[in-house]
Amino acid sequence: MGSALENYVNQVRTLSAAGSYRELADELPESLSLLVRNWSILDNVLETLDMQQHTLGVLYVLLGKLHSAATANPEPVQIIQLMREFVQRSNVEQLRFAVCPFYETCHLFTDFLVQKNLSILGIKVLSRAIEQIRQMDTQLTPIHADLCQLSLKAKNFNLILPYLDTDITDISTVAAECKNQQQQQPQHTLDANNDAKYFLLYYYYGGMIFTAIKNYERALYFFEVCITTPAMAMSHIMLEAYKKFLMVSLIVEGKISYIPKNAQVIGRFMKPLANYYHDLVNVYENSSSEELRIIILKYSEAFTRDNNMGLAKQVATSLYKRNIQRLTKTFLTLSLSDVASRVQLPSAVEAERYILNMIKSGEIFASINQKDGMVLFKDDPEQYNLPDMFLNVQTNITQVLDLVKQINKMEEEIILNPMYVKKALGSQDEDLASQHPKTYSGDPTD
Amino acid sequence: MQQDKYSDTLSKLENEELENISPGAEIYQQLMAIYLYQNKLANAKLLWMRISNNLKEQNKELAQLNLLNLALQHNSYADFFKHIKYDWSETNKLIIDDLLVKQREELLNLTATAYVSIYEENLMEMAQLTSDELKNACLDWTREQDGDKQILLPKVKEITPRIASDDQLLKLTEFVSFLEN
Amino acid sequence: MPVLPMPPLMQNAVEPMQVDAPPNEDNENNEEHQIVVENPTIDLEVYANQYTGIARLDRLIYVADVCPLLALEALKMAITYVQSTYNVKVYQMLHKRLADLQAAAGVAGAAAAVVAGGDQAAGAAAAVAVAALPDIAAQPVAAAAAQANATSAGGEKDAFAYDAVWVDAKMKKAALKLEKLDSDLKNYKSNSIKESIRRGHDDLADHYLSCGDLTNALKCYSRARDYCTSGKHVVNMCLNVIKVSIYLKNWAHVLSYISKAESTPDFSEGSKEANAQVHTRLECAAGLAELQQKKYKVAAKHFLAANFDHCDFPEMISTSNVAVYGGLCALATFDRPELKRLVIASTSFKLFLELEPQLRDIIFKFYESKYASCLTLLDEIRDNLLVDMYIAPHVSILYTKIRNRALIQYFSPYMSADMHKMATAFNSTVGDLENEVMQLILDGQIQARIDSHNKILYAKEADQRNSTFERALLMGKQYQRHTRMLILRAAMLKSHIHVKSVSRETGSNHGAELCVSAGSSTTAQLARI
Repeated sequence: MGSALENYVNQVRTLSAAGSYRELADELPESLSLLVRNWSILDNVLETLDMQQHTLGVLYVLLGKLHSAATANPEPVQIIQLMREFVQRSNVEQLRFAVCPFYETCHLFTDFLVQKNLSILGIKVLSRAIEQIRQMDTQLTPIHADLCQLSLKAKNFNLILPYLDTDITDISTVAAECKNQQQQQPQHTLDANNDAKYFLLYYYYGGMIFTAIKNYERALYFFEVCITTPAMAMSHIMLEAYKKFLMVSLIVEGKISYIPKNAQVIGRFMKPLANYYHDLVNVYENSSSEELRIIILKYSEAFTRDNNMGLAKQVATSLYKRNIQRLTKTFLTLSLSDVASRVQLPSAVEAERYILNMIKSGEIFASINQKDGMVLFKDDPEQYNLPDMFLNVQTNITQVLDLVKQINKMEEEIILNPMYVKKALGSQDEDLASQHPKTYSGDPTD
Repeated sequence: MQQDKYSDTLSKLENEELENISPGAEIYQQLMAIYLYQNKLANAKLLWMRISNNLKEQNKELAQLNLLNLALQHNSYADFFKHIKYDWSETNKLIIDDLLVKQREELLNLTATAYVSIYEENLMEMAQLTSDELKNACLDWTREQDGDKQILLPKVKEITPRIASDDQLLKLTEFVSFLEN
Repeated sequence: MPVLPMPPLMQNAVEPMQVDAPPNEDNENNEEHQIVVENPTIDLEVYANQYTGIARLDRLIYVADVCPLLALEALKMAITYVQSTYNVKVYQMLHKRLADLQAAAGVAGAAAAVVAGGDQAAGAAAAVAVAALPDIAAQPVAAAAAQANATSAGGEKDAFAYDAVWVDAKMKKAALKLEKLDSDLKNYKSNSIKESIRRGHDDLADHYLSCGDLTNALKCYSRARDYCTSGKHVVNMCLNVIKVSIYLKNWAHVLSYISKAESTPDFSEGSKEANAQVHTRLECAAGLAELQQKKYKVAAKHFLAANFDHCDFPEMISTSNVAVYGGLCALATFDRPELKRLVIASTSFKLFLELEPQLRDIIFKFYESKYASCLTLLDEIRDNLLVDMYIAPHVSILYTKIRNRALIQYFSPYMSADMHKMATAFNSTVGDLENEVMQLILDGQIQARIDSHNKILYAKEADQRNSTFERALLMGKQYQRHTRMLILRAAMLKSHIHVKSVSRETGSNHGAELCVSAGSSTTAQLARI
């Protein structure tokens, strides 16, 4: 037994010293089962390896440790400490040869922490891991989903938010990595199937995080990405995201202005399964808070089961607010009791409270006259002539220009892609030869 | 991100929380107080949710901070000013004092914008101030008698126009130079 | 934040979801039954005489449906009329209705009679028997009851007794005629003389129509199509089909045959004078069909295109119908210049309006901005419109449209308007007016704000500069969102992110479900404030 592990250590040392990382990375997966079997003495192995020099070797030991966590039941602090050290000190160049096992390590680490209820301690580790492995700031890795999960579990979003605010332009997937490295290990093909899962999870969790901090617009964006992901079958993640999408959409826009055209999956699988939510949407559109309240009560069991009751209550609140906003569009003055009766609030006092809160958060512009119990609705005082607004417009323009640049870059990439050139020319030839109009093969939205 | 005198302390504390297995009540208290001061209510709420239960029960000051948190979440000024009257520990006292000043100012500003007229007793209830204290706080507001009640007509504060920032001047110079060429 | 209040005693509140039922017969019946007309001021005799055939029967039956006051008279007229046709089914139906009606009246009468000590107990008993057995099988009883009733009521109106002999005779006659027409048609077919076959079909269809068998009538009229030899025949066939389709309320069919007729070469080429009648008939049919499909403006234009001198087809629509339908639709949908040009200044439509002086006054009052009297007049003719089977379902919609139009026109020249005065001008209370105006503002039809304190309506000027800024910023935001999504999508496709059924299965044992449920419980807590 011992000798097998000694062999492992020797192999790692020799190949690392020779700089043959590729070879090492190709051979190490075969030792994984050996490491898992010998979980009890892995610490000894670690002592003989240096994280900086033998990154790959250490990585597989860690992987072995996490794989055997169920039987070994190691001290959580030790694992966390190890991981923390590893992501600090490991050598990125070496790590590049073993991206997939690194992702796997992070996934297992996440599961481990969630199980031990220590999610908060993994946040920094994973954040560091992402920094290390991603090739650019706008690249999405499967670890992102893990970080989201830990943040949600730990209810601490300080570190995750900067990641969520970054717009993704590139996605690192296990499938692509395997292809790069010509590896065909069985456990990796399994993971390759999970690329979509981690992608969906990232956007689903991200949407939830934004919902939690009430950045509903961004949450809507995340949920929308989640449900518009190309799909042949329906994922349950997508279904849950769809339910939340409907509710958040009501909060943000007051209606479902846009049902993504991913028609097949949404229409066939998700709609029938999200019936309650569609009922809710229909009732919301009638603008009657009373009806909405009744329907939420009626379906409260289903909403609670989906863990969406909190959101449902937010939807109810948003309708009150929306109705008050409608009033500001039609009235100059209105008595508080009229406000209450028009938006179906129980009392004038309650209406005053709503209005005060909405004034505070800048959702409406009004002033209350307690003397005669009236509200005076005003227009948005924004005159678009202050320096702040100028700055706002400027930043917006800059952002748009950046996006345009990004698009141009992408277009350039595509144009220069030999595959594309070949295809474009080929299809043109075909067209000329057969005189076949390509109308129906094109995008139906054109 | 808003910058103020607590930003540095905050990032230090946040870091500490992420590294420790079971951070002490001290850290949580300070974090909570600073979140409240910076009006990051979502953060404060999340913080409360991740504090372990026995800490919540044992530490009275923490619980008191959460009462403030809840009052702010629900926009209930009366509750807030009631609960802030508490014997705070040395570390938090400064922050809480700042918070009190800030909230009181905010309330008065909000009242000024949101009300054409307001009964004195209502405002007293909201701000938890006595009539005299209130008088001092808003000296320039008009008072009227409505039956046996005092009614206040708040005066909206002039918004001082912000002076153009360097950034903006830079942009403007860019424009000018663009136009000249 | 509002925690949802506790459930009140509203568990039995009406389910707010309303399934849009297709416009089948049930639904129509429902609609009709909702309308109950109290005080129409029409002279039923005159009204009925405007129509012939099925149209007259349908209209009388409709009157009987919606107007209890005229029900008896309408039924009796219908019975008298139906006896001139082969329509045995309707005859039986009418009698049953008559019997029911009289039974109901009889009960009331009996009660009175008992008090008066009269000897109408027999009649009452019979009536009760009928009421208990209101199915078709009870026909003879009903007849008997009707008879008993009639005699006990004073021995009058034997004419309205159920005439079983007549029914038998008619049925036999109808069968005989059918047989004859059928064999004639077979004869023609074997001789394959196109014109005769066509006529044979038409005759057969006419007979079916007389018997009230609309589906077969339609079938036969349509069959004639294959034997048409001239454009005129085609047009004729179309007119027949349109007629029956109207009876069947198949409006899509009506419209398609109208366009068929209009595109027939001979018809469009032929001299105008000769075809004027056909033209007007088609316009009226089109108007009717569009009206039923709630396309009021198109309907108005069709009715306005009708020519008074050639408007004579009592089996479909009367001239005063054209005036009313066209006038109301125009009022509801035309703007001021259109109203002036197409209605008031139209010489041909003037003749129609002469028939309906009330409506003419309404239109003129509307044009002269005398809204109060206009609306009062409208209210006055409301009951009369509601007994009309074609316009009745649309009266309330059209009235609302007219009213809204009036409100918008009233306010258009003002900067501010006193809502008290406005309410008087529109015969309504300030509160109701406030709600109406609020809706119009929300729909963007009136640019104004309501000062509910002083009850004044102020026109609101849109600040172009501000709204442009607002729109531009919004557009920018949307563009950014859209583009970001696009870039992400490109990345998705590039990385072959694709949900496959395999991935789901392996995913599920890989902790996905766990993650989802664990995570979502978090948000639920978070979002609950």
